[in-house]
Amino acid sequence: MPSSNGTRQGIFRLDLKSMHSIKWGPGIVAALIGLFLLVVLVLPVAKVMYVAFQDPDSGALTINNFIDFFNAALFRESFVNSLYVSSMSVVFATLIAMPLAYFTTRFNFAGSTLIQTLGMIPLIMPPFVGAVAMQLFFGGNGSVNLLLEEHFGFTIPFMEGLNGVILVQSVHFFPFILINLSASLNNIDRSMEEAALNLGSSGMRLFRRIVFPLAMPGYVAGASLVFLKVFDDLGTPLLLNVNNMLAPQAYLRISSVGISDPIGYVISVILVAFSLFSMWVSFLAMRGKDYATAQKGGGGLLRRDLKFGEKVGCYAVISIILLFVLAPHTALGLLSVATVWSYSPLPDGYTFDHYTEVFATANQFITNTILYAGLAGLIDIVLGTAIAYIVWRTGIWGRKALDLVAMGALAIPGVVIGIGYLRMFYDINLPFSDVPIATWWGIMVIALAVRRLPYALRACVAALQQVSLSLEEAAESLGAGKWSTIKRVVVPLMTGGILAGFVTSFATAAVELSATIMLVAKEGDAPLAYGIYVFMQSAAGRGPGAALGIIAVIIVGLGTYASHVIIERTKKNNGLK
Amino acid sequence: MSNNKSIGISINNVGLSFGETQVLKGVNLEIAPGEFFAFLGPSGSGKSTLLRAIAGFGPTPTGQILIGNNDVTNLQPWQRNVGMVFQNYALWPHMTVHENVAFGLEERKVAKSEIPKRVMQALDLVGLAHLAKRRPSELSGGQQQRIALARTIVVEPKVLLLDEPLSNLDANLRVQMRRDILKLQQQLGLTTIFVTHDQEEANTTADRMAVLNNGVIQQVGPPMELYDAPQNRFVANFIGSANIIDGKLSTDRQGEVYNFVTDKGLNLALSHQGQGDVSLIFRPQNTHLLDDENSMSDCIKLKGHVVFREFLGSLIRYGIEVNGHNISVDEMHSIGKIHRNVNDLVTLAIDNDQAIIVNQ
Repeated sequence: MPSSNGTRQGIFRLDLKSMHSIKWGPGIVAALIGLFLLVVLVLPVAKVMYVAFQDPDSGALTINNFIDFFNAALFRESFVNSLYVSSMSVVFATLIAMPLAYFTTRFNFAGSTLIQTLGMIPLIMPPFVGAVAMQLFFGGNGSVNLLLEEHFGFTIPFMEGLNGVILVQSVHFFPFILINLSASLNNIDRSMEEAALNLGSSGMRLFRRIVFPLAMPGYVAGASLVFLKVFDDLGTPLLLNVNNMLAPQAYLRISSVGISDPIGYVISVILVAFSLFSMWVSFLAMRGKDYATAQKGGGGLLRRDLKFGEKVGCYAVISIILLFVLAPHTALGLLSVATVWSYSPLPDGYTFDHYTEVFATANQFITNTILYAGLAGLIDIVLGTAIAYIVWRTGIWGRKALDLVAMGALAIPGVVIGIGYLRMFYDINLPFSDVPIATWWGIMVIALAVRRLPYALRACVAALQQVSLSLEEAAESLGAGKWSTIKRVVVPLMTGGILAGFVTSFATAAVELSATIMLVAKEGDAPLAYGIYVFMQSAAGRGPGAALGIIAVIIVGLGTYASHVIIERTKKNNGLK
Repeated sequence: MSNNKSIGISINNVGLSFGETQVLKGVNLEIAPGEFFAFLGPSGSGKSTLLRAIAGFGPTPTGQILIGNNDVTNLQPWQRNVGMVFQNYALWPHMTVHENVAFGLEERKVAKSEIPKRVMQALDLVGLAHLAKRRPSELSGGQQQRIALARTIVVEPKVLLLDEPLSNLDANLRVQMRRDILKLQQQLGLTTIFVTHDQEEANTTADRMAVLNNGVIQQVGPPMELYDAPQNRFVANFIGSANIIDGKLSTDRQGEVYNFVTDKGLNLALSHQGQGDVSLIFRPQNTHLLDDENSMSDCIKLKGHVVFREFLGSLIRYGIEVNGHNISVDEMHSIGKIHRNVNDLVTLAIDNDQAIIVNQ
């Protein structure tokens, strides 16, 4: 932005009195944020990387830990399993998302919006919450298999071992593909298709040669996100008791062998490497292929009306998919009000006792969650707003690096953050006490804040980009200094985006498990997700666990809805819609 | 790639609606083989919709569209063999220039060995053979336009449809491009329809044109005919600038002199025939400022005050108020020319031949 710098320098010269604050204020803020991110993100991750290459006894640099890792059958198996589960989850998520995306963008029929909305619902539930509930529907003795056995004499091992993880993960994460694929299908300019029709192409050939290639970048972006999320996820395999995968192995090694065991660190390096790899794939897919903005004119695919038969077929496919997709919620809801549910397609009886029990005994989990996620969200929007401003509105040296580091948290699995914090902060006590920082509840807030910072930052950047530079210049030309302009013009105009960022950070932090599970020192400090995990460990705890799960779903659901409403309202108020 | 068997297009009573909105209302048109025909109209007039209906896009219209002797009204776009160039060019970004141009040939199952030859021929025709390996994103607007043209003509369509093909180009390029398109069209002898809202574009290229407004064809004819003899106020106003005075025309007792009276009190004796509510139309450049009131005869004379004067380079435009009617007068500018000033009282004269009367 050379021109804006020019203007700013012009103001520097004129505004001698506040020159000092203009020049140094943002710089100091940037330095402080940089320092914070260094301590809570860069150093812990670097430490983990470093320890992975360190001999546990001598401290010398070595790759022996990796050799040990690949020499052990269990770890090789875990590695292969993680790859397998992630890849298969992408395949199944695609099978779920593809028809939904294609039907709703391609054909005219009632309920497209409803279908798209229902398709997003899985995201408002942390996957591990649904995992146990899914056992009850699809497990060996679950409703579906009991019915299959009774009527057809066979069962399908939906939930057996890795199958269960794949099923739960694909049902949970397919919306990432749905969102991205629908967006790129909707962004294909109508004339792209018309030009092909005009030149004699139609039907499947047109789809294969024009529509599919143009939608490909969106698909790859969604698919690589699914791969990354599944590869990193700890909660689902843990709850399904599938331990021969990478993230559970890392957790189990650290929690049972101890924080000096190098295998946890080796796994962390592998997790980070694969995260970076899938982000790179996504980047390659998107690079130079921003087809949407390259085009002008009528948007969206040509929609056509369906014949009666086709309509029936479409609705049938969609209904089956949606039933399947909503199964975790349904099962969880049933479980939370079931007296006994075992070896029967449906519960024996219904009760609200679990909710009463949860509110009586597990209140702490809920209040902890609201406190932690709330604080984390607050930290995120303060940092997000500041970073957004520094990156987009100042010329401070290293601002791009600041942005990169903050966004980099996306590539760091929760397990790695957890391990890094344990390693970094175990020997450092809180000031004026003998409590190690690593066991203090505040460290969970910081972990959550760091992990959700990218979401808040994106929201803040989007909000800032909608504030025209001329609005700031107008304030400055009327005599407002830099701080005054930010306070009175920029931040008020960004409010909607900032609020949306807060809600997103809050809602997703409220159900985070992978980093917090490693950092919970005592049950009284534990958040909701941990509570659900603990409850779900025992058969008797499933009811209350499910009740807690439903509460989590409600919190996340309300948060997501609120964020949506805020974003829409801001767009309207700012005249963007 | 010359096309000796040019064919015509017949549009018979074509109507089309988007939901409740009627976009085309009973359109009838005959376009001759090899003709360069323009659809001209303001946005929302239905000109693009009509073009798209010929290509087979949008809702199926009522009425009948014939290409040659072939009724295409209910055919799918890919069955019509009409070539269309889109306003935004619609080059596929995931394909190279060569692949874009080859696409239609491949869809037509042209022999594999022949495709590269024909692609290069088409690219040569638009002078961009050296860009075959580029992607559309690496081309300028004018180059994209030419590639879009090459992609369309390579399949040797029976008719060529151009949807505002120049609107995304800058002014200089636009003039160059329209000459190139015209040359190409003449070279190929291809029946061509060109949609535009720019009258200059239509005037300079089209053999004939149709002016559309609100889904109705207002007038069809060669550009000069539409300019000189507009059939209604809309056409007069849309093509070039025009002075239009609405009023009533009546005959005197002998039926020889026609009195033209406006509700602002202007009263003129005209030699034009007509009756009832009419508009008197004349062009600014045919309206003269008289130095000597008696110097012209056989003309309509008006008196008024100069309200403004604009220097447009080759012209000086005066705004003159005549009995509450605003009249524009264009005078050629030359060095040393004496100008009128604001508030000057002036006499205007319009040759009888240069003024026309249309029914309102």
